[in-house]
Amino acid sequence: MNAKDKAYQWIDAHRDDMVDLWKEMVTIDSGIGVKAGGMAMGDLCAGVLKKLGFSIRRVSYEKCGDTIIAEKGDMTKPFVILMGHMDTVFFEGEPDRRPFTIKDGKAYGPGVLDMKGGVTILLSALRALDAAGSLDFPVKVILDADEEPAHCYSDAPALIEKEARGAKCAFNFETGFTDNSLVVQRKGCWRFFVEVHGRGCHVGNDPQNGRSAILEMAHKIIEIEALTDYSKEYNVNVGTIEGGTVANAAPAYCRVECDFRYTHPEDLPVLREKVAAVCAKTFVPDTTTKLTDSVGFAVMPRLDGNMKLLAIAQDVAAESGFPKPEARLCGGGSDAAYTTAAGVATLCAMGVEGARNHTVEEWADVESLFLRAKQTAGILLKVRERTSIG
Amino acid sequence: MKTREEVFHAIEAAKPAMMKTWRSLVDRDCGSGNKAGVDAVGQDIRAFLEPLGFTVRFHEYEKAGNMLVAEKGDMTKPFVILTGHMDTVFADGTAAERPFTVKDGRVTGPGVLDMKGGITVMLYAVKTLLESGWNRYPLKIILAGDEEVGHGWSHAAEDYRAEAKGAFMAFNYETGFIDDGIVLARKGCAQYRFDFHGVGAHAGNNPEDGRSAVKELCHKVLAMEALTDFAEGTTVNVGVISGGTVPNAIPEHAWCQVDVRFASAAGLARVENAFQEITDEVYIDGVKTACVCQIKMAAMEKLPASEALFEKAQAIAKDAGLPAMKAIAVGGGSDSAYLTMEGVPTLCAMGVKGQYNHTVREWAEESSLTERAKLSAALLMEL
Repeated sequence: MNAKDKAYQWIDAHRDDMVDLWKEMVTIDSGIGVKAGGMAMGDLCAGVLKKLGFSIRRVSYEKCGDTIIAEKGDMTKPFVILMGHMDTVFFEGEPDRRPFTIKDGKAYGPGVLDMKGGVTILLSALRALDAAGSLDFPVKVILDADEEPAHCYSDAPALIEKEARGAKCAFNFETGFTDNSLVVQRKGCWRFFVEVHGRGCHVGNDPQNGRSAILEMAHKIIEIEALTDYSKEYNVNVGTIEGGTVANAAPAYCRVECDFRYTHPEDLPVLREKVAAVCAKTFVPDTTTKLTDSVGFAVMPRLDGNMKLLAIAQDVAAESGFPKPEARLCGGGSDAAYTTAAGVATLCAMGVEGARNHTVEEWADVESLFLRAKQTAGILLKVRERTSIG
Repeated sequence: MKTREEVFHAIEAAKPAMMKTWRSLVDRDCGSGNKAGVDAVGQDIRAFLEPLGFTVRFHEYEKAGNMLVAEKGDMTKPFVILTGHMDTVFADGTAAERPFTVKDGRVTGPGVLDMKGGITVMLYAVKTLLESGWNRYPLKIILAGDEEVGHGWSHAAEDYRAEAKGAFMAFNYETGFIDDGIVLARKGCAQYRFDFHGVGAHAGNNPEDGRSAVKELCHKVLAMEALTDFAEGTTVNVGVISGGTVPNAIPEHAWCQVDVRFASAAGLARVENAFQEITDEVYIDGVKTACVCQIKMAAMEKLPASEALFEKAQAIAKDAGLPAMKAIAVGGGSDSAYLTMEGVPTLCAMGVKGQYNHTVREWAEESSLTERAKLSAALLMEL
């Protein structure tokens, strides 16, 4: 029996173990700002990796769980990165409110899809290779704990980029898509607030003294939204708006939060300038406007190597009778941006398949947990022999 | 018929009785929500007016204080309306907490200014005149029981308009101004809520499937605010706005609240027609707009006949040695709107003078009680 068949066999024999691990992770409360849960996830994952012979480094932060860096093999040689995040978008207490459940082949619970299923696949594929006697190549696992709030509590982006140097390829076990596609490119996102201060007044008594912040904002939103240009693969969205206090007063304040998605990194400075120019205009006299950056994330560019990794994944699928994975451009960000920033060929969305992440309707396809673990093992066996992806 | 001087002297002599009546009207809970309290005020006023020869009836309402109508004389002839309201904005218990108090010429207590003082002025101007042999015109007194809530719980507004038919002039004893402003016009007020329903989508993955409710809203904010016309006396204010849930989703829903102030019904009609067009217009394909009117209070329109009435009143006041008045237009509403809608020339804010109504700081000028009673008596004798 070859290594691939042995690995697949291990996975078939350990379906219950894999689901148990998945359940254990979903049960850990690693929601936004829950540091203890992030730490517990780190302990759990580090424990599994230690048993496989990985040496563990932990980078600690004040407000979130540690980033786990686990290494096995000769790291002076080109290595493979397997990565993911251990936090979820939910508020503290969510696992008690919505515990892990399986019904009709679908699993539910906080982070079941994004991305505790993916972390389970990552660890299980390594266990399967170990059982097959093939975990004999340099591997680095990177798991962080504040990806959902865009790493506002840690230095993970810089850390990942640094740790990625010397890697031949990387796989991120983010939310998988139900059409089997794998992500070779992600848009970047620039988020910003626009605030307008006007002047309030009572509309019955002295309407002429009012300077409507809402009116000023309306003019600006129309111009900001008009910056969307699908031919240039960027679009802006004024996502939230709040302004004024009561109907009978001219609104003194209005605020919006905007989200700019762009495909080409060189467009970002241009877009910033355009938005700043709109903010610098004044439509309603005596109003003032302030532009402030919010969180955002970088582009995952489509490196040539990403496409080569996809071709390897397609070969594995063909050989194993799995559905063929096609290339996907994804609008949402992930940590894959930081490995590609280091020039490392990366495939993303390697995790369990499902939909509705970030919502209480989030679900994951249980069968895909096993299939994706096999796919990962198959891909790793193919890249194991290569010194570079080319 | 006694002379003006004799009537003024009689009013001065009645001051202790006036203060007693004023106190009795203030020291009782009769907020708009306290129907029993308001109805009790109506019965007391009925007991005051019937001995003077008035026929008193009530428009009865299930949830709101009843509206008192008192008539004296041949009502088939052109008559004078004296009007006001009996309810206050204050909660039960306020009368016990802050009873009628006179200190340094200032009177305090719930509704002392708005408008128990005005009712007292009206009752004693009428009483003094009738006891002095006055018999120039038929009189109709209308006192509403739910003015402070805009008659939202009754059909008093319609009843008011019906009662106003046949009048040739009216005085409303609302809150007087300390600078002797007499109100000839009040803006009407209407408020609307607009809801915008678009199509949500992820800003990164399928933005082109989204239809932004916020974007539609912004186009319509511009259209709505452009309807303001200061010369016409119409303002449109988009006062409150809200939309979207997270920055990375194309906003599916947005709403705004809009306040419209108008000096004339024509101004409101212009805005409402435009609102209909704005509601129907679609800037972003796939976004639907709905508009609901939440509040509507009519304007007291400035009638040329009200201006003429004021000019005559001003001359009479001057001749009688009373303070010079000035004609003003204000932003807040009153029942005078229903009088001007029926074309009745009306002077409003004829009550006692003071400041800060609707608040605990409300106060009324003690000396204005007899001064304003004299003004009304002189006007009824000479207009």
